[in-house]
Amino acid sequence: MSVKIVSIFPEVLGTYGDHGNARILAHLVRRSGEMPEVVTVSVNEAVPLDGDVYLLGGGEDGPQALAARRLREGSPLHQVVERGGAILAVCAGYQLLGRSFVAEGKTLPGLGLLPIESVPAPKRMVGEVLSEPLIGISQALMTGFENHGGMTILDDGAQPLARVRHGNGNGDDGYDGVIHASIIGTYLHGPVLARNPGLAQLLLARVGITVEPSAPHWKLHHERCQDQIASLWTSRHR
Amino acid sequence: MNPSLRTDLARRAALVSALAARFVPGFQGQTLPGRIALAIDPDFLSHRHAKGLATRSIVVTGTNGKTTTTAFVRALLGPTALANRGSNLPWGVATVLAKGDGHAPGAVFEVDEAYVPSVATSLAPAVLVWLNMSRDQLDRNLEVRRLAARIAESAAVIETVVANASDPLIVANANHFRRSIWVKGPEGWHQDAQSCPRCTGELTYESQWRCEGCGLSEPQADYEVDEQGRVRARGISLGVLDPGLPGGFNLLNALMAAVAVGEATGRPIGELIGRVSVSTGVDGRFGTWWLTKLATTPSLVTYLAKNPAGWHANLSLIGALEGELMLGLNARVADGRDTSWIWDVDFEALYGSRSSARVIATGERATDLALRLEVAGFDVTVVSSQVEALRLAAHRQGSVDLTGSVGGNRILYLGNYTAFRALVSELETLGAIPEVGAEVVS
Repeated sequence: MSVKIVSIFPEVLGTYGDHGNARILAHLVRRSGEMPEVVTVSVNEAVPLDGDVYLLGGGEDGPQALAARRLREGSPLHQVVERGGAILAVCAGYQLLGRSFVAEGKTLPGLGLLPIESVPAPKRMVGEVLSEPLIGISQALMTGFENHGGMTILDDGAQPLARVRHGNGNGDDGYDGVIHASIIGTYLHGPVLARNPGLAQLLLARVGITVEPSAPHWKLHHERCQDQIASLWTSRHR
Repeated sequence: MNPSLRTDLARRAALVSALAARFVPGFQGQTLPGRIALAIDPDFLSHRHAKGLATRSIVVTGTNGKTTTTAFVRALLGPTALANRGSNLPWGVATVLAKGDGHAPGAVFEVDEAYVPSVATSLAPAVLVWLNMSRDQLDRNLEVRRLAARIAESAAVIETVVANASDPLIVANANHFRRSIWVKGPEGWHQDAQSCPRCTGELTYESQWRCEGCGLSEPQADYEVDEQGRVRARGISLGVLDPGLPGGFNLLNALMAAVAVGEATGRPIGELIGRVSVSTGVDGRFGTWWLTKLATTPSLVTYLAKNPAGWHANLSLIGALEGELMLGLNARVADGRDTSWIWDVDFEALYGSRSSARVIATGERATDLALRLEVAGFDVTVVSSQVEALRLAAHRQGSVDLTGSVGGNRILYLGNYTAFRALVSELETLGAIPEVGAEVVS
């Protein structure tokens, strides 16, 4: 069985290393004994319809606007969601799947696939995030690095991805990200699948892959969680 | 207080603190005197600069190559020229200006990208050397495009910009300068400018780059250097560069230094091209050491790279070299707290060019690096302590295992900023002696 991983516009949505998510998924698919196929789609190419997992990453304002424009022109992602194809969207990629977002001072339409709107935050949010996932994954904590000037407002009743214990996440509601249909959205870089092997397992389980991440993968997860817990403890007991 | 008296007082206070700092072990005294001077006289840079120099200065900025290019410029200006070395924030510049005696034949300062507007306003330099713009410490400097636009804000006070024609982020912002001289090198890093910095349209790269949307395109280079170091000015041969340091990027750095000095002093650029050279890199960059306290007395070659573009350039040098490979990663404030960028470094290509799969991951974030290297195919050993990692590398080198053989009695080390600095400062414990001709690290 071959697993097709589609990395969407990494040259514009890859400013924060998020293309690493594709590398990690491919690595895990190989570990499971199956064959990964990573398809890197550039901004002037069509997004294929037959992918198994779709990945969008973070980028700067101008590139984000360009990516949203290209995806709206003939969005194949609506069809992907209709058939339940897995999508992981990070930061700018997460914002542009919502109804609207702001880039370079202008409110722009998103793809409308997520029940969210993103607006400029009073202050840029930069730093480590520690959160508790609100979905069943094989880890009790999540970590990542956030770096965004916008904040995201979820519609009433929308399901956030995780409860933030340290850092900002969506910005205002005490949560990070959203889970909606077959889409997982988050503000976490790191990349998020390097820091959170359980989330990578969940994405691959959706395409029928069962895999145990390597010991160094779990070690990275634990080390970053412990660092965050230690700094939280220090700041509260000083 | 009389402004001139205030400047004088600021200078004296800085000199006293610099003297005092010499008695504190391990303290380099490159920033504290400048901080004191700026606290007493906030306009110390412009006041002291106006008084202390016979000629106007050259400012060097960009993401990668600032320190090395500044060393090239200084080599051309002569040993009595004022120059900072790595300490590139306003207080580092102030420290150098405080120590200068007013008879220096010229000055060159490397300046952190974020501080170019404020430092340039104070110094009103003759030439700005703008090397390149790529991602570095996004957690602090925010986005590279905004940073490039801010550098252009200093155009009004700078006579000439000597700039990299291959970099769209520079070209899009350089039209504000009164005079632009375009320089081109043998290779470049394009991953940070795939969409047009002006209109977000798509950029295409052939021998030159161009935006399909708004037509922004690579300017005709005034000076160009190829991989063999041959320099041409609009088609006319000007000679061959021999900068003394490896890599195409150092050929470009050396050429930009020569052009900047030619612009600032009026010396013929052809003559400067024959002279621009340094005996070794600054503070251990591209350094070779003999580790005399280790049983096998291996040699160690040290490379510094701070961001994806820098790792890309240095790994292309290291890939083909024989030796035990050791990579160091920290994530302190000076490095940027976010290590995500290591996933943009093409370690897969490095893996393909090595004769052995083994690598040692070290530094405070060795576990982040270990997963990245595992995914690239390497057989990774994690040793967080860099000195212990060196001991292991020395023990291993020359030996053969199932992953292939590593020849040569040599260790290759590449680290990011604070990891590299920590390693170089700890080398003494292993009896490190710099290779003959190498500059001793202060």
